[in-house]
Amino acid sequence: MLAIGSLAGCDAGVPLIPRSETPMVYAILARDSLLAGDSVVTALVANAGTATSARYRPVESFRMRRERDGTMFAWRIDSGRTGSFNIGPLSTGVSIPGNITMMRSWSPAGLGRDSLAANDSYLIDIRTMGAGITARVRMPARPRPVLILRDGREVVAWSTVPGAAGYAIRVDTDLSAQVALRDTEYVLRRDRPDAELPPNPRFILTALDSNLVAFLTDPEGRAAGVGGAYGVIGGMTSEAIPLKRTP
Amino acid sequence: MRIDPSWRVILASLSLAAPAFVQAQAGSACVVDQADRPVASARAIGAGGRLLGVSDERGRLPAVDPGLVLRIERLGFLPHEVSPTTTHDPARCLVLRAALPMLPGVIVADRRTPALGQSITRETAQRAPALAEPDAFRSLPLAAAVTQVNDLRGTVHLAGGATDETGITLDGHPLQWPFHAASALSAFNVAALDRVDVSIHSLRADQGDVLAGMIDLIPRGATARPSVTLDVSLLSTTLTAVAPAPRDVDVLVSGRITYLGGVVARINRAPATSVPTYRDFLVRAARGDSSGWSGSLLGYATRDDRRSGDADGAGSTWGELMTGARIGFTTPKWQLQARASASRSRLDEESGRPSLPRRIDSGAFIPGPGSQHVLLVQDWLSATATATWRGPYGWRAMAGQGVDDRRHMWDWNSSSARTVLAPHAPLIVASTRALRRFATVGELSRELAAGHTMTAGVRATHHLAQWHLAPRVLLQSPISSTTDVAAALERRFQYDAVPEELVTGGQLPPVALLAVPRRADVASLSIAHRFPAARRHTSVRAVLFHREYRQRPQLGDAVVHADDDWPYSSFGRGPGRASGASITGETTLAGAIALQGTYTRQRVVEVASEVTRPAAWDAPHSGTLFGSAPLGARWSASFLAQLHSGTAVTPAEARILIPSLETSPRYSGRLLYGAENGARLPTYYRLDLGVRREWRAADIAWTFSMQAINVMNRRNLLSYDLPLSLSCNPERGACDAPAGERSLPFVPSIGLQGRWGPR
Repeated sequence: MLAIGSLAGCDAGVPLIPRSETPMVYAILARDSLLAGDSVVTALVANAGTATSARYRPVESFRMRRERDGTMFAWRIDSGRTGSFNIGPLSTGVSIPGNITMMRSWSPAGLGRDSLAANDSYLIDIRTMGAGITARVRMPARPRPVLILRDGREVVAWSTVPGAAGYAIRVDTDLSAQVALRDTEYVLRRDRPDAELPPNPRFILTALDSNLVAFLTDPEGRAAGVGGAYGVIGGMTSEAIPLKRTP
Repeated sequence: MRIDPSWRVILASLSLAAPAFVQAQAGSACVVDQADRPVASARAIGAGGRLLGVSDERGRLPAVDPGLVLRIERLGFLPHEVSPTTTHDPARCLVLRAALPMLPGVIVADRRTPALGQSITRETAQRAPALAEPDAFRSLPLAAAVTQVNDLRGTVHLAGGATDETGITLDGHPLQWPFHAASALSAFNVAALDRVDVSIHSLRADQGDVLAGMIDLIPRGATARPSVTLDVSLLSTTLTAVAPAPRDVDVLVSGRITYLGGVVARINRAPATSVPTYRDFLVRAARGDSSGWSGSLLGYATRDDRRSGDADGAGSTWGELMTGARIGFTTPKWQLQARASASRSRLDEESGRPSLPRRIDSGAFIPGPGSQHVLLVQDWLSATATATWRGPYGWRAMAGQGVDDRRHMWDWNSSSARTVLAPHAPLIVASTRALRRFATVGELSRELAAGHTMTAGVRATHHLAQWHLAPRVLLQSPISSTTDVAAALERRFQYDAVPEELVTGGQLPPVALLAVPRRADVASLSIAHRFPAARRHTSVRAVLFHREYRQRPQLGDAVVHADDDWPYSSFGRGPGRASGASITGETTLAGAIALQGTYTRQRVVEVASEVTRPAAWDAPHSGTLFGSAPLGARWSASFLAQLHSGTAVTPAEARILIPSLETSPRYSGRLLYGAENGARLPTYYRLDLGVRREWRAADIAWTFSMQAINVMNRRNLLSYDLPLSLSCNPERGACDAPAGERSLPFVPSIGLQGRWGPR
């Protein structure tokens, strides 16, 4: 009976999400600023942390060079961002400031965001707390959406572009905000109320590189285009065409 | 002396046989208790430990020469030793003295129970604190190697088997789902049963096709005088009557009806529309005559109703109806018996909601006919016939034939299939499947003079034009007067499966009939020792067991979400393994305080995609401790503590982020899962307490009881939905949904029993 009495200690509760010190890194490279969150290119380097929070990792170096000629890009490490941050509910998007920022334009320190170019590939090497993280990104070519009328309906069509594994769209006239798809056309629904329409509605088509598509479409994906960490570093190229407020 | 398991059941089932025949034998024996009441199922033991016969409900021992009887034994009584020099008086019966101190616990396991088996008797089941009313199934976790991982359901796991690997019989006839109230309570009141036999490690060749074990419900036998028992609890009222009828017919009638809905309505001050109400009914008539013939008829019915109270008028009924008949013929050397039964389990749920769309061949969806409904009709016709011969030198041979004909009809088009059937049930199913199988069984055994017994048997089943052979060997040896050893080696097949455990609150499991049976090879070794003492009864039993499973169903990718001919028959298969050891001990302290405890260490694993993982019901450690003590003034108290390892769950290796498609993204989360079932929820612990008082007034034996389940109100986690737990967003007020399923809360109850006539 002593065994029974001691059972309570046999199976101490195992945390269903143990604290993780594994690094995770996120960065999305894009030359243009077509969306609200595209004003600055930031990267996030952090520990996976716990179920509810993660922790910024100190970054010793963040180096990115263009593969074809080895030219370096300039990233600024924000060493002031330290400590833990809340990562919010599982399915709700939370804003998390990055701890590395890409310069907007060329400087003596290296190339800036303006130098990102379609079809170029970039190699990234990160040193954080003694660990090495590598990544390779190929920027997709710029897509060319065209608005056409088919059977009385507005259809936006485009051709596949090199380096793109999929496309995301945002349509100001439709209620669906952002849809990732592998199709090459979209039929406008025009279901957003007029009162909610922006003054100059647009159709924004974004070509996604293979890293982003792989990471976003695999519900069990751990990393894409990144070695030595969880996460994704990807590239995207966007193009917008104007839409009329009324068809 | 070793028990011969087949004899025991065969003779017990024919226990109504031949009263006049007995009287015709010069000097025939009979057995009574100290109050001169007949004692049924008493075993007459002769020289060399040979079983000579079993007493019938009138206490008579058919075809037994009293001059050969050296010992009479029966559960609940002290063994009666008969001196060889005693002169037998035909006018006097052998008297057994009640031996309650010998049975301090709820579970009984000794030489008089089935081989390597355990029993719960009507008397012992009433000792444990009950969930509103005594329930034999709720007491089963006190037995060694039996676990009840989810206490919201009455089902149990036997030696690491899944719940669908347990067979249940009533008077030898197979039952399908004898549970009430969303499977929380069993559909049997204890007063209607003589005992419940649990066979886990050894099954006779003529017992059914199940992998884990068999629970045999033995109805209460007749008494010389009418006996009426009335049980009233907060949950239900039960009336059980046992009486001898004219023409030597013994009748058992038992019925139960609940008012659970009304009680909940008063507590909640609201209509208890979603609370199930239930009733059950059992009637059995049995008769024997002087020429050795005996027979019985049995009827059993349960019915549950639940109304949702929604505007669409949704509601469901479910239950089981079973009828059975048994006939036997007994001579000193031969036992012939046959039984047949027909049972139907049915679940019928209707709602006013429009039907779900159905998928057609082109892949498009079209509106389905009618309203949403769930209909299950599962029929089972079963019959067996056996002949047993007892020869000289302890030889015994048994041969028999059985047939099982099953027809299952599933028809549903409702999302509620996932709340009343199984969590991953397809949403639309319309299918009927029928399978028939024949079994030929044979068993040969020999009892040696010292009580050593060796039994070898085989069960050959013809199923879909193929034979499946299930051999078995059982060795039993009393290595001393206080120590018994037994070992068994068996192969078992099972021809049905439930793809996943019934969802909590579920009403009836959809049982899939298998074209390819699943298989288990079972090995066990048992040693039992009794410590002799004058005023104290102490014993210890240990069992080692190991099982290798083949073709064990796994849910895998079987789930389909639209029409399919028989969706669950396509589930994956894989091997599995269950092994462990259990130890049970019982003792009495100070001559009155009784303690019984059991501990089981086991591991249950299954292999899927070449990965070995714990089964969902794997509980490496489980233990129970039961105690009872008199308090004086006819009051007594009891406690029951249960512990077992927490449920196996799949942990997350990490939570990572998913960026939005912006260069300064917003992030949502993704869980990266670790090894399946690689972690455990906290240990389950529960303490139940009960007090009772027994007294007599107006020639009625009254018992008043108060009990409380989970007195510490420990909210044990039974399952946990990790994504749901992390989806709570307080800003959106979305934190109401519980992320985990919790065990029974603190449940107090009171009951009153009045009994007219003998126990």
